[in-house]
Amino acid sequence: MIKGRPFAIVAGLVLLLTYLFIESRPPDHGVRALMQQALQNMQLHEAELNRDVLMARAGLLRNYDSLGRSARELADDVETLKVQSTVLSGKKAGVIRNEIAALSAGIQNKLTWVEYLKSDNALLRNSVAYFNQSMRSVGVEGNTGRRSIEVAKLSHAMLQFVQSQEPGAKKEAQAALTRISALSKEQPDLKPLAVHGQVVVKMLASVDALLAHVVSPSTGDHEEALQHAMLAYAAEGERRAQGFRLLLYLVALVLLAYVLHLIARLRARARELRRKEMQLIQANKMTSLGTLVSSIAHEINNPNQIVLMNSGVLASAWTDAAVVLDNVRNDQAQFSLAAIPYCEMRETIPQLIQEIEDGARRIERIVSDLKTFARPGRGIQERFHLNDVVQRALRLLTHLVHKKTDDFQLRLADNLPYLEGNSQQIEQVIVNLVINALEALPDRRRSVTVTTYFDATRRAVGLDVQDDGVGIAEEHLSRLGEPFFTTKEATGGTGLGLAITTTLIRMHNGRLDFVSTPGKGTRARIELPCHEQALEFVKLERDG
Amino acid sequence: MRRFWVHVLIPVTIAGSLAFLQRTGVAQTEEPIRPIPPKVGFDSDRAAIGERLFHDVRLSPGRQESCASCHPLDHGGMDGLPVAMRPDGSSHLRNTPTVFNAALNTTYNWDGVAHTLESHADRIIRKLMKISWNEVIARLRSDSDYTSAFRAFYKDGLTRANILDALATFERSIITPNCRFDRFLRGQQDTLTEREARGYQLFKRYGCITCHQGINVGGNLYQKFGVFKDMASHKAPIDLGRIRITNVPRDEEVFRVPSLRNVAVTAPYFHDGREPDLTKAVETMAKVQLGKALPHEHADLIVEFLRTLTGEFRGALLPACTMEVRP
Repeated sequence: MIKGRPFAIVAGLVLLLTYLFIESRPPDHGVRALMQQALQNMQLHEAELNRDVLMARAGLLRNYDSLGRSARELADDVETLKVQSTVLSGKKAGVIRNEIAALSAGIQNKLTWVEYLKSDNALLRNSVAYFNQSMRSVGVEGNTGRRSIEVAKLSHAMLQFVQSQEPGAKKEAQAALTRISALSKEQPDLKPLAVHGQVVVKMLASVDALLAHVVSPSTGDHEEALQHAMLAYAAEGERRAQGFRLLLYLVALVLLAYVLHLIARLRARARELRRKEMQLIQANKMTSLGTLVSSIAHEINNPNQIVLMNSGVLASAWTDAAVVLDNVRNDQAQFSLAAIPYCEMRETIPQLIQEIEDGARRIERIVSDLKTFARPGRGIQERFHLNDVVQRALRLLTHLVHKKTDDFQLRLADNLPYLEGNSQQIEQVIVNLVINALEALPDRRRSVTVTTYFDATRRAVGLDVQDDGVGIAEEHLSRLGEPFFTTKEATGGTGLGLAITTTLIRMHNGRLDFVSTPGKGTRARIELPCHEQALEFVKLERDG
Repeated sequence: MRRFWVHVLIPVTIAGSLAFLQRTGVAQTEEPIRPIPPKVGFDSDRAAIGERLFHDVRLSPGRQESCASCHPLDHGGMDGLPVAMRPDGSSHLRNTPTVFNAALNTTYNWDGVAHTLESHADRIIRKLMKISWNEVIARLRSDSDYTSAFRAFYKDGLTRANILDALATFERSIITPNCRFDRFLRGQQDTLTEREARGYQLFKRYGCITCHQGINVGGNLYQKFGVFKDMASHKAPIDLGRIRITNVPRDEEVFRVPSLRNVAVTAPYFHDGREPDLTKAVETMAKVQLGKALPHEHADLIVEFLRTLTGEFRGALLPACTMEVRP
């Protein structure tokens, strides 16, 4: 589970990043470009259409083919806009589609007007031509009173109307046409004048009205609105994309943080592993050292026993020899032993012999300690209670405790589970730790506290020896378990006490650690694991 | 060096500008009718499929009629009947326009109901042939020649849109260039006889040209049939024309102005085919559209001009369409 999880988390984050990347692109870019293009084309084609319509009205357009072409292209542009806009999505897309629908309707109207304009303009042009032609033929021929007056009036009125198209001018032209129409009943050659004149009046108004519609900017307004709607759509899309870009950045940060976290964990693991490895190397060193030490100890012990035994023999021999030698001195005046006058040696030799014995005894003790360190026998395995062992150890140390401090506290926890192992070895451990604590005290006012406790989560019984002593220098902390490492050479420390303690605790599958602040004191803590049965026993007792 | 500028380049520039002005001047006095380009570009593979479809009777329910039944390519591209005959034997309301040069019109049918060749073909298949597209596609699918041809020349193979495209592509390919009048427009002044040239001048002077202009001599606008005279035929049911499409009052009796190209070989005339004679048709037009009784001599001259509008298809002049009743 632990192995797979970081991979799954990283993969998830990468997936999320990919999704955010896709979403953070500006939306529908190609579609919008096509629509923009279509809109531009539409404006161009509309301009062409307007130009051609104006030219047609002015009689400058040779034929209507270009109008048909522009109309078809405009219809195509509208179709392109419609088709492309279906791809767009979102709230603003509806606005765009509405604008396109309005624009489409506008263009449709415009094209219808253009069709009407073409038809009407054709009629207008023909009728103007015929009217002028008729006017010429009539004008040349007739010269009979009323007729020529009416024709001249019509000519004038029509000229006026073609120029301004004001309501008055139109009325006048129509009146003149009505009169000519009445006259034409008797004089049929006037008929074309009346007929085409009426067409001109009717069509001129129609053509100009249509022209005004066609070139009116109504579709331009829709185009502008559509342009705005498209810009708004793009802006909205850009805003959304920007939001996703921000999210993208944030998720990338999370990913980075997570990767950093993983690296930190990896490094911690590596450090832990290196420490374990060092411990293993240390343990191996100790084991081989133990083998070496035990063989040396054996080799030293045998000659030392001879020295010890002989020194006893030598002491009693000297007692006897001294009586004889005293007599000899009384008889003769002076004699020397080892170039020293006898009277002086008489006192010195017992001291020398005592020193030999003391030296040998010290050797014996060291060897014994070495043996205990190197091959501590498992001894008898028994059930015991830590509190009992603590009290036993302290009874042994009563004298030393009173000598070193006025403030010794003992806090024993109730209902500790029993332990299994060798209680004498544990007793030795406790004695060692308490002696160390006491010896660290600079004066009697400092305290030493011994506490026992039960740690349910670790399923262990523990013992703390806390002192207010001088503390341990940091560089020494890691070397405490090494044999022959001592800071008490002056006072005869062998450097084996804590080494033995460490070995014994390890034999009981326990832990030993020290926490120390130089100048403030040290806490030594041992923890010994309990057996399941012992735990159940305690539980039963507690539950009553 | 400076002399070179003054004596050579400046005159050359002035001459160039003058030539340009002259050209634009020519453009301004350009004729209202434009010649058909001798060659048009189209996809010949697709047009070949279209030609086969055009002649394929499987497009009609009874496998009797094809597009070519009403638009025979060897008879002026139309059937020669006053009004078209439906596959079921009943009479259609209107005269069949020629399929030649149809691509040059801006809208289709007499009322301009279709704006593209594709939508025209679609309407004919659905409304005149009265056959469903599913049926058409199923019939064509069973023909491996069609399926392989469509697969070869269309990305998505045999579909309704591609059938229509093939037909339209074919229709765009059948234009009739190179008529004598087009050659005259291209500068071969002597192509027309003196009478034909006079006919053209009269065509312009009487004002026929205001509607029958552009590349197709018409076909690009609508006009009321009978500006100066009510033309509702009392023989036939009244055809209201474009108003049936637009529902706008002013479109009553308004029709698409037909192209006059190949007019001499596509009788009879008008939307209901009421006039078999071209001269009489010209006279009728002058009377009802221009309010003018044409002297007989002038009508003849105009008809002589109109005959010069007959073009070539596949290298041969279009043959005249003789009225014949189909079996």
